[in-house]
Amino acid sequence: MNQGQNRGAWQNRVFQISVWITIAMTGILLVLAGLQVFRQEQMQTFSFANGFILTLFVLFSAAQAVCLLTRKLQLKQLGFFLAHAGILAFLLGSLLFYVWGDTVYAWIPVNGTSYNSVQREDGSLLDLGFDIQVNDFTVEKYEPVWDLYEQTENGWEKTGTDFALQDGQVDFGPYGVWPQADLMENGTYLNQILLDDRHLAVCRQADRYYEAGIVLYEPGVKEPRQVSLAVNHTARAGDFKIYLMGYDPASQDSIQVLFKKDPGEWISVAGIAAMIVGIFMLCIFRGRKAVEK
Amino acid sequence: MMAVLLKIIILCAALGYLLSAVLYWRRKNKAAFILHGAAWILNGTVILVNWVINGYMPFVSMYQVLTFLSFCFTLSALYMHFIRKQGWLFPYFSLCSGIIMTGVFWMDASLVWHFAPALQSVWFLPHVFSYMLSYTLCAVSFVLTLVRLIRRKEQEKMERGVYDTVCLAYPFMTAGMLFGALWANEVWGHFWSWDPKENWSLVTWLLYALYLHCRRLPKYRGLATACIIIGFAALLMTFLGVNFFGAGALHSYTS
Repeated sequence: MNQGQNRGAWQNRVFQISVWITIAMTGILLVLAGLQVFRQEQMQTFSFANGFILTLFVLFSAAQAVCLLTRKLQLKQLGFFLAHAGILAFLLGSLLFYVWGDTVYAWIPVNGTSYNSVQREDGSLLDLGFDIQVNDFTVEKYEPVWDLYEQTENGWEKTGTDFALQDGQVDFGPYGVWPQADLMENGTYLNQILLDDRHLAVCRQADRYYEAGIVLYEPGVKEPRQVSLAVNHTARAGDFKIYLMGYDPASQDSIQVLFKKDPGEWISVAGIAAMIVGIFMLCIFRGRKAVEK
Repeated sequence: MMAVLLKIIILCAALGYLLSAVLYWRRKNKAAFILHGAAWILNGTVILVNWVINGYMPFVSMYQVLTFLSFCFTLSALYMHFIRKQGWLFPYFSLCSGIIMTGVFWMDASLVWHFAPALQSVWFLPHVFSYMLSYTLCAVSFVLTLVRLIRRKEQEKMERGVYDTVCLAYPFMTAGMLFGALWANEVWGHFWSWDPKENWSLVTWLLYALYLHCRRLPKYRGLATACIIIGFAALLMTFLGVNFFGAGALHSYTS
């Protein structure tokens, strides 16, 4: 057997082993995913961030790494290298977060008080390294709509939907026309309105948008930084990325914020980009490669 | 009134798709193509109307998503015909569109869906669009696999069709999954939350990856075929099953 055939046989063996590792990992994940759906209560206490899952991913990563080493680095193999190296990079970034990252959820009052530390679930304090102050908070809601329910032998059943305000009133058809004022109490819409003995109108008024005006005081920075924090619009300060997660719907006088430190974030993002580009190159541009005999 | 009109349009689109599939198989290609095109235009009209009524891209409710999914089948069919020279796949795409639109006809077509703040992201369109494209192609590859297993004729042509559709589906599935990860990092602070929907999407992705790998070795061909069948089952679980069984916690925007 010459060197080329040796290399081919070695590549083939590595290929088959990595396929079987992937099959094993897929099978295990399939079972766990199935349990998540069909045994929801039992799986509520299960954490995927455990040693067994970690070991699986380490094996999977090793398979990717060995596959990379069996190939010669060539331009025509760029898609292959990007795809598999991208997987490695994403998993590496995730590992860095798992080992050295930190996430803390905190409720911060909307009252202009500055905070430079937040309390973790276990009671310990996390020093943010900067001060954060929440000065204002606004929420916009969609126009309310009402769904109609009828009491039957089987309980309340939905019989109508999307009754909306028109000219300051809601027309519930045979159950009457209700003016806006009758659907509200203390300036907010009532959750439910009993139309008659057997019919109920339930109000849906979803959030359209909400944002918090925050001020960040960072050491070494002369001027405080004013930032608008919203869902899908994060802020950065020190080592942390700041997320607006929610607010107190009753009083709207405090917001829930996530402080996240992720040393592997940019490696994961680079890995994602490499995977997408690599797999497109492998599949779209090389998809007509003949099957090896 | 608008809801009734949309129901009629959906029904016409569904019938158009299904009849065109029958005409394709009977080799009445011209009539089939015209009917398919008409059904596609009606399908697009439903999407447009939903877009105008809601004021945002109609990808929020299952009704809206399935309508768009049906629309994507024809786009994929055109690609397969013009780029991959696999025009014989048209009836399969048409049939799948018809089945989806038939399902849409029976769904609650509530016209007003509120776009939650978490969905207001630049990642929304690429994530949903990539997945919809990939799902259409995976559905066709599944149907082709079944036909190949049942008919036992033109095996190589069918197998080639399966491979070509999966080769197009897989990069979009990857992009859809990873755009979702980038989006999740922006809204929830985690690339991956081990949510049931995310886990099933990962399982689906791995199964189709296994198909592409197993196909390279002749002795693994049977395993490759199994990956297509199990992969499509996992896809259905991801797309429909998780929400149907009430396990899609993070992805239940419309409940």
